[in-house]
Amino acid sequence: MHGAGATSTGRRSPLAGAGSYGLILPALALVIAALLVPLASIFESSLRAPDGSWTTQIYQNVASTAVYRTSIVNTIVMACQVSLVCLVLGYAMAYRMARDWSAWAGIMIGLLILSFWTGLLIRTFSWMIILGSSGALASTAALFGITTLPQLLYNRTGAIIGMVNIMLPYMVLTLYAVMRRIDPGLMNSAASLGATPLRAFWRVYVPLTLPGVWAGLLLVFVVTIGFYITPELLGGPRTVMISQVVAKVVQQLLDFKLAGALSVVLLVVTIVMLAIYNRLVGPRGLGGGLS
Amino acid sequence: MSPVSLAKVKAAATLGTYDVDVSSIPENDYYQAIAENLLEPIDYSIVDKNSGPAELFEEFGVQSSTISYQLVYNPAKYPDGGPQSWADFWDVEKFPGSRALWNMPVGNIEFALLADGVAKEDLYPMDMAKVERALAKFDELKPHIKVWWEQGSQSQQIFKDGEVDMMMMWNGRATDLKAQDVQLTQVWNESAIVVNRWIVPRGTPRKESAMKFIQSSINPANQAVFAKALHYGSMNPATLDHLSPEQVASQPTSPEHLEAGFRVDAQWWGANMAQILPMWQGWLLK
Repeated sequence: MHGAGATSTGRRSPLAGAGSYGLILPALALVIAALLVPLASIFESSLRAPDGSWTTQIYQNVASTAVYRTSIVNTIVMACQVSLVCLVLGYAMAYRMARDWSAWAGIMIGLLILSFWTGLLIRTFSWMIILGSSGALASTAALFGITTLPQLLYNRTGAIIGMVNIMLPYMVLTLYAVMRRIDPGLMNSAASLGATPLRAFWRVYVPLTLPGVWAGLLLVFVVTIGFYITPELLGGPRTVMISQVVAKVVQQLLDFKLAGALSVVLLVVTIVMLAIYNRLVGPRGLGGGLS
Repeated sequence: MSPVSLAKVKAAATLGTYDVDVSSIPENDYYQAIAENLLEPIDYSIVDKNSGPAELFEEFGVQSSTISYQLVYNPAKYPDGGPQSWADFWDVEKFPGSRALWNMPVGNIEFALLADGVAKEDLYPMDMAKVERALAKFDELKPHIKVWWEQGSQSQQIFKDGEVDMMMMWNGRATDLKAQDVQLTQVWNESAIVVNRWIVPRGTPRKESAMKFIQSSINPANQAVFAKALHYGSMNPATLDHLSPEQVASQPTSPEHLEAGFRVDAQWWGANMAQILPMWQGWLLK
């Protein structure tokens, strides 16, 4: 997360000034060519009737068809759930790793990175083997006499477990980057001034980690919105996310315009949500701990 | 089974970048592709119409492999005899157990109608009233469907793991599981038979090679090689002459399996998919 500015000693980079804008041009050109131009073309074609005239017919179709509305709502609700579960699990893990770098922390981060590097499809199929009704978890539970586990696959639980597993490293690493730079002396100072450990944690430590929390939530949410294969394989018919619907529309109906319109709707909904988020948290909250 | 999605064919034909010059696609996709003008007419100066029955050779495609959407069950779960029809599949009192189906309206709508008492001969012509009737029949079964599977490998995984006791599976996948010593019984009765077509995306510069490939592949001896490996036999009856009786018994195209199942009206599905798919997905979300 260190930018060019962090490598220089002062707050001003030696490259600062009008000339440094040249440095962003290659990346900017790539974003324009590979993202903005195709996006504009998708948006335009979704507004064209077969005869070339302008129409909002497809968007009316999206608005009036239950499955499209429901899957967009589903996508947002599930992305929020995944973000929150990742925050709870990731905060505890990052906290432990940042507090004291023992061999355990090393093993933990090693496992995390290993999971990060393992293919998404492999991890998704692994969950089918672990969570299945005669899978690893069920047979382990049976050793302890537990024979009636709730159904963990092909429903919301399965989809969320799979997505949390994939997104957790993003959350932990983001939080860890922030927590590592919190001076442990601050907690000691709070204690010396009479704060209980819990009070010091809530009043001193947590507020300092908030930039990492906001950034982690945002990162997990945005990536989760686009999940396809994990909810497809681990979820059920009621957990359909928008990418699954888009894939079906492309593969079964060959309707690229409808698929494009659904993607545009998702993009707009996401931008609106991010704008609200930005308003509540503020750009300072997002960037503060990282820049 | 479909190695190439129709979306790829469309992308190839509309953008002119051909990563696929020849493909075998399921027949409902085939009719959709014709409607969208995505296919090259078969060049019958290269493809020999006399290498099989005349009805295999169509303007935009050559009938090739077939696939049977069939009921399979775990015989260990039903020692006194398992389900033999779609009516049995719906009968959760007589045949308790968890079930799985493909998340795809084609075939499922027909199965529900058969379970509801419609005779095989009366399935078609299909219409919207019949689709509504099928979905209503599905309402009663829905709580018992544990998995709506999406991919062929997934359908095998859930059966192998014992996640479900009976399900719809593609016949080649079922035979493959049996070869892995998985306990599985195939039910050919009332199976839905779908015939794939060899097609060439419109405008490919390698059209001639593609036609030559089709010509070589429809030779019954070559079709038999494919049928032995994947069990999706050819509609050309001459293929069966190259197979042993055991190999014939695993093909959807053996005379008794063709008799036991029914041919899907893919032309109707191709024309109506755009309307039915959102209905189907909406029903699943309820």
